[in-house]
Amino acid sequence: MRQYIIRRVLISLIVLFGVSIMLYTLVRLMPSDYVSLSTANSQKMTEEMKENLRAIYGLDKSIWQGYLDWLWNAIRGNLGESLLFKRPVTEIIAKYAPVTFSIAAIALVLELLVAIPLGVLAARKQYSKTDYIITTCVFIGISLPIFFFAAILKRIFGFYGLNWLPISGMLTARVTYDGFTFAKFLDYAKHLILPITCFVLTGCGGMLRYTRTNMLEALSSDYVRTARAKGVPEHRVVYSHAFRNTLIPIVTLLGASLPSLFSGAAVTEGIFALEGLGNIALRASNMADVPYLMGFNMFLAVLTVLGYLVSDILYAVVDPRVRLS
Amino acid sequence: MEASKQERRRKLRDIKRFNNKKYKELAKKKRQHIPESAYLTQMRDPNNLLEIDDLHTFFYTDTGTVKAIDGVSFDIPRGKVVGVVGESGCGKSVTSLSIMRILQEPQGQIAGGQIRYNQAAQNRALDLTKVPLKMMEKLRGGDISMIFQEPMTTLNPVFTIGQQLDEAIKYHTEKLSKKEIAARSVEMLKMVGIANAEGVYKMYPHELSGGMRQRVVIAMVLACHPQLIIADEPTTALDVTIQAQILDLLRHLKNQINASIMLITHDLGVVAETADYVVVMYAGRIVEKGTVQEIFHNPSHPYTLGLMKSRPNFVGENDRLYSIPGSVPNPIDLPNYCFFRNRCEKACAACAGTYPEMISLSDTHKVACYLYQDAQKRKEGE
Amino acid sequence: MNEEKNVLQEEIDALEAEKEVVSAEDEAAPNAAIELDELDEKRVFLTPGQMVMKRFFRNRLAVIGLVILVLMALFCFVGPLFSPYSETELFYLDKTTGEEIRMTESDRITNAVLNSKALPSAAHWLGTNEMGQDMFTRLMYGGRISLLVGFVVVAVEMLVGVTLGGIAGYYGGKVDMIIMRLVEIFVSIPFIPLMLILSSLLISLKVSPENKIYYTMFVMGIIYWAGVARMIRGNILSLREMEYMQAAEATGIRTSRKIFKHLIPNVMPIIIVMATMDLGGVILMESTMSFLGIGVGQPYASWGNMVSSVNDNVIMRNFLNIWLPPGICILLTVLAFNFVGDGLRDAFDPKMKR
Repeated sequence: MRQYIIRRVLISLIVLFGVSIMLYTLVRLMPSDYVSLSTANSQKMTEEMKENLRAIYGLDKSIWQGYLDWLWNAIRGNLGESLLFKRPVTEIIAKYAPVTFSIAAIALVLELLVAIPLGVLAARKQYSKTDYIITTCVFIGISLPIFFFAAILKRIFGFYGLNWLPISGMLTARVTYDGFTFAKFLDYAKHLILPITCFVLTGCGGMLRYTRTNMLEALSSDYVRTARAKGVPEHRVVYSHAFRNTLIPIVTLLGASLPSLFSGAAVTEGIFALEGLGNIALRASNMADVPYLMGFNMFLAVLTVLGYLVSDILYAVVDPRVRLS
Repeated sequence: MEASKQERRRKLRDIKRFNNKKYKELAKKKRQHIPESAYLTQMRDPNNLLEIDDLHTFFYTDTGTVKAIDGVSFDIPRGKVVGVVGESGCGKSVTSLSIMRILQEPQGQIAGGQIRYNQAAQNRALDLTKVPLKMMEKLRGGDISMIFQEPMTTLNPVFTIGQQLDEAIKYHTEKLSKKEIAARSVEMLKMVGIANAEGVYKMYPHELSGGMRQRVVIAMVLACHPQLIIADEPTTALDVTIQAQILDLLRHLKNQINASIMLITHDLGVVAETADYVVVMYAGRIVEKGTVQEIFHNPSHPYTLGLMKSRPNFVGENDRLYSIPGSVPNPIDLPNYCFFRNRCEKACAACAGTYPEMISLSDTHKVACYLYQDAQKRKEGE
Repeated sequence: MNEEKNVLQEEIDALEAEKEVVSAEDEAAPNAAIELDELDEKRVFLTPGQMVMKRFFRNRLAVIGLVILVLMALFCFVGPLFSPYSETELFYLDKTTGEEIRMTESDRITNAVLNSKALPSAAHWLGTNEMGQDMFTRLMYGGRISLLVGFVVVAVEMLVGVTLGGIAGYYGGKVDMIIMRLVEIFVSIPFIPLMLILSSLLISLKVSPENKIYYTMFVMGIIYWAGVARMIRGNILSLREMEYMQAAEATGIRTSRKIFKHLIPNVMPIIIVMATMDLGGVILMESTMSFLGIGVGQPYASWGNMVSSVNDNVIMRNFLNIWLPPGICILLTVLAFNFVGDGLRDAFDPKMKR
């Protein structure tokens, strides 16, 4: 097992190396005088910062020399300075990551709470009316463009419709709270209802289908037949025997969704004006803030690779067959 | 061409409508409360443990109704081994699944007949085709247990052997503490000849070989002292040496707890060695049944004869294995005549008629073939 | 090894010979043959292809999806032929008379304002947008772009993905190792953030909006292949483990025959299903990108950028005719692709047979 993990870590490093080469090459595809081009519109850009940028990306050096310099900087945690904020990229990521992460984590938990029970139900009643209704809803969820759904939610529940819920930001403007009170928590909650609804309804479809498919497979397996034959009550056959086996693929899916906790949110964050990493990335792209985008991308790539690692380890925890070999 | 296409489409639509009706009926039946009078019944012979009487099990598929079992009747006497033989797809396994009521619903349904089970402990007889699901769950594993063909997949990969054994015991014995259950499980493992029982108790199925797993399954099956053990090709997937061990074990343990065994197999050698009675099935019907001596010394149905002949015989000089020409017909809408007549070497004019009645050659020996009709008539004449 | 092969070959020959014997017997006994026919008449025979079709068409959702797709394709590709307006045409209103002026009548534009946000009327079935363009016409052109992007991207990703995945699965070893690492690299790059970088690059390179879409398609295809390759590789690997595949190999057939007769027909259903599902996914992604302003841009229409008008609060509140129809079109199209893809999957998979 330990050997396996070491192997995985080594492979992950190779993959990260590859990702960094790709991203760097992309940046080097820019026209040679990219820095002055992209900064022509922003008066805030000082000569000093331009020099800094050139130094970080090694734009004045050969592509290999430049890449090695950049890699060395990146390893030491220096991803350059954001053009938009004029502060180090790492600092900005550290500042906004908690918001993105907590919203996405809440959404993920809710998604699981919706997807797994409904997926099991649909599998148990395969081809019944319940199954058809759940399946149809799932497909609508998968097919719904998140920005369109957000717009509809905003229009119905927001200021221009029923005016029940705020439609942008995380806290009501012009209200100040002393410390973290219950009122502040409520205010957060109110602001997050719509974005999280958006996440959950568009996100749980895939998980639900996955649960259903795996559950169906487990239910038609030999060991479930054995369990029935030895007189185990039906509900226990489903929730203990079949479900434990369904859990294995679900857990691996969870590990792989780690990066999406930080990245999948860009569109929703933008629409609901939540101060998170994704929203900043959108703004950065309008300003051609390549240092931030590149740092953000690298950060996500690291998370993705970590996610695969985590899912491999979780897999071993849930599946006894992997535990030993 | 166009007409036949339309005809086919119409046929398929009819099939679909018919199937949906059947599915709905089943769902409705499942919801209904079943009164005791509906499933209590009388045994024809109190010495029998199980009487299968004119059982019909159908599968309502897209291309038509498959009559997997079409009027099967045989008895399993108490403490005896009944071997059920036949080619693949002849309905052997479906018979066992029907007894356990674990057919794949809603496609597979018991369409008629009775399966009478003699529950001597409570001094009553039950019709298993009508018993409510809750009661059936109690019977499964407790009174009637089943061993499946594939030891590699019949155990749940994510639970330890111990957990799975404990579970089998837990649902059928009352008032046992966890410790007592565990002790019982280990004892069962020892009983089936597993040396390192405590160690195996903590292992996962994938850590055991096929033979060991089948032993575990047998331990699980015997854990609650079942009256009837259904063994569906218990040794097919195992090595020959282990096959013999497992069969010996099964026979030995059966005598210990005085259970009956319904042994499903296509291996006539196994039947000759193990069984007291033999039932030969073909395409969902019984073609011949009798005691093991009668079947092996006096095989009467041409199909049984064929089966005997196609056994590898290492004594004789035949270097080419005999095989019955043709294959089992797909049992969709089978017409009511002997389905074997196309493959039969002894087919006669009478075979063109309807499906032959069961003809008694002796009290226990019955055969469904026109060849013996004259003999029967003569007998009746006397 | 060779000996084994010979033995197998002999066995196969023997089987073949037996078959011939059986058929000869059939001829000798015409009676038996007739009786068999009689049996056959009683049931319905279907070829595998017919079974797939039948299972597909029994799935109501799949049929609904297919109908939506056909209608959508007609709407987007044939519809514009009947539209009196063009995609980018602007409409003006005469300041004094309030009469509508088309962009072509340039002499009259001097004394006119843009006919923006017009409500639905006989001339403009869905009204006009904030730029004074006909919404209904743009809806058709937007769909054309969306569908086109979908097909091109899926074609690219399938071409690359199936080839590389097939090679990795078939040859294994070092080739497999390299391709799979490549796949992991591509899978590890989050899509939207990458497109954001690309977009800022395109801005700095001053790429015109009409060319932007080609870059976008290209990049999407290049990125999406990794998932396809992984799936195909996995399937080929498990196929090679199958007994029938090993049996085929043991008979010593040619590699090309192995690939075209055994592997491809078995992978085909997965490719078809994946392509259908991905069409929906790509259209969704394209619309998201266009919504964010990094895909298709003005003056060209795309369902995604048409919905983006909703960012204007006035439009969100009062002009549902501007942002609702394109959103519904995206939903319907993606939904239809998913329905069809799912129906195909069920139809191909005999295990799901009812």
